[in-house]
Amino acid sequence: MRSAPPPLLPIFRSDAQARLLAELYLRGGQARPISQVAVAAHVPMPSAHREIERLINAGLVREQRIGRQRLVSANPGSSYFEPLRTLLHRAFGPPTVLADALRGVTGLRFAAIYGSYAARRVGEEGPAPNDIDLLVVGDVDASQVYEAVENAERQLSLPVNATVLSDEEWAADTGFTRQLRARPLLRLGDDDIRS
Amino acid sequence: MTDEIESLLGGRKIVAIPADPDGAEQHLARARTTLEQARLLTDAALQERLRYEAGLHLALALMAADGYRLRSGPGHHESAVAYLRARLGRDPGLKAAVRVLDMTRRNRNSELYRAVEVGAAAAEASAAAVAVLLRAVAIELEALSGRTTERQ
Repeated sequence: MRSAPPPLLPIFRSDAQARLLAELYLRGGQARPISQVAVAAHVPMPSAHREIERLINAGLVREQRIGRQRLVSANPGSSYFEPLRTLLHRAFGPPTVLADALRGVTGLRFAAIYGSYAARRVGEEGPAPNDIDLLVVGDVDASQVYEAVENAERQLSLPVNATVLSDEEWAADTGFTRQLRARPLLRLGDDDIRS
Repeated sequence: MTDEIESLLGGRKIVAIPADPDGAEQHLARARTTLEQARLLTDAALQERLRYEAGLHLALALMAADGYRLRSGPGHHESAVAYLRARLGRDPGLKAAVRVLDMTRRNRNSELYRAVEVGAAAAEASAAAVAVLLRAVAIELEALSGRTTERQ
């Protein structure tokens, strides 16, 4: 069964198609087996196979055969390559860009996106997010987090609001932490979506 | 004049006025008082609000001394922080302090309108950053008033 269009950018025919395109267009140009792309994009193999076949036929994805293995990658020769990558980056890039930007922050225990972006990412419909709400938990220097966030903002062209909490503040049962735990929280690094 | 200030003028975010050294000193004094009051509070979110307001006074102080006024309208607080960045951002330490002030502005908005919590780390960073900016703006005002006296 075809998955519903992704609420983050519902111009794609299905969430599976958007996830596969994001995986192929945003995570480097290295050719990979379809099975590897399907696992990374969290799309079941039969659907991934069908969708990627369609993308190959449209020239958006290129295919190489090494022995019996089919390797696929984004096709930089397609006239849609740059505009499509820009759209995918804007809609699906924030978790990767933020995870990369925060990599050098010392004392970080975990970081997660909450708010409207996280809600759209898990399938809640609504207007496109105007900004990203980021939660950073750990024994960190907030100014180091803000510097990382500024670097990410430059790449994303979207404001990122960082909320920095210590382990104790995150563990405390407050109205804010209760609300965060009850709503979609997109943990960075492992692409783990909890709702 | 820097490109950033030109862009704020062109975008009608600020307007040129005669330089107002007295107004600048008043804003600097308000910034000092606001920071002192922030130190008396124990709630990080309320401290964040006051520290942001102290930072806003510093931006307004520098604008008054330079001969500019902030235009009210959407995004005018953002423009105030952008002015500080344009004036002080060449120094890496001050650029970092303005970055913290900008996040303090957003934290203040998130806390005020969406009840987002402000943690101790954010409060600590804003306290250090606004103190650095206060010293820098006081030095700038002194230098500007020296230049004015020399011209007279």
